[in-house]
Amino acid sequence: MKRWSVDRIWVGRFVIAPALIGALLALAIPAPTTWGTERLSAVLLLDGQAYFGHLREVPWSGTIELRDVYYFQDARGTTEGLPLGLVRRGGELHQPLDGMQIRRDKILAIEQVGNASPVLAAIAAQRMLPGAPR
Amino acid sequence: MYLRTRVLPAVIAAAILFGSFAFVRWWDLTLPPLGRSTYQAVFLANGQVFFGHYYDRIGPYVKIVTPYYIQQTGDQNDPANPPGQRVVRRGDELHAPQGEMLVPRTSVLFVEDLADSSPVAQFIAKDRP
Repeated sequence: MKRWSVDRIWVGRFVIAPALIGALLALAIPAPTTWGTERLSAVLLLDGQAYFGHLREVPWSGTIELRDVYYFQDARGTTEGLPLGLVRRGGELHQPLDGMQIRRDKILAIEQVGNASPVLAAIAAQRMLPGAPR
Repeated sequence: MYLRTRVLPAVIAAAILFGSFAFVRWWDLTLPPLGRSTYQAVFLANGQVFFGHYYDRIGPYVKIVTPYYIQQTGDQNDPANPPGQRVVRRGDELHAPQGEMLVPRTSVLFVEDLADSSPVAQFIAKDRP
């Protein structure tokens, strides 16, 4: 009776390596529809708060990282004349540095911010203010 | 011999590379939803319910494509505008979300299939872009 033997080097070279390369390429190369556009994510939390910014998954951890973060504020206190009040995180009393670590189990949902959305327009207006980080 | 030792492994490797790329990029780490109905109701930990195509992805998130939700309308104190409910497609919010939601598994209470005859499923089928 003939015994099946697996050539591990062959499997590694022609099965496992291409599978890993294909998956990594798909993760690393952004979809063509997003080329040339800023990808902002909306992170909606279980407590009702929403944060907008650049999302980065932290692999093998229970958190995500959000950078260049904006959140809603009472519109009456803003200066850019938009009906929507957004502020950039960092100006609070404790002056946090850029980069929020958000626990994944406190997130309700994550969505992509639309290119024509009022939120993106308000963020663009915030960035035009003198002294605002670009 | 050349075909077997050189060409065939290269073809296999190319097919696996393409398949792996497609699995991650186009199928977005989802398995085919065999035996499920067209639309599902996803109940979340904060009490919200979303309707749409539910995909059980590999990894920490599930995905809801073209989500809808029920919006309360009317005013209890206004007889001309009595309270009611309507199904709304997500997308007209201030951040104009783009057609799909990623939801951490920990925020999902449970998922139910919608019957094709349900008013919500029929509305979604008619309204979908």
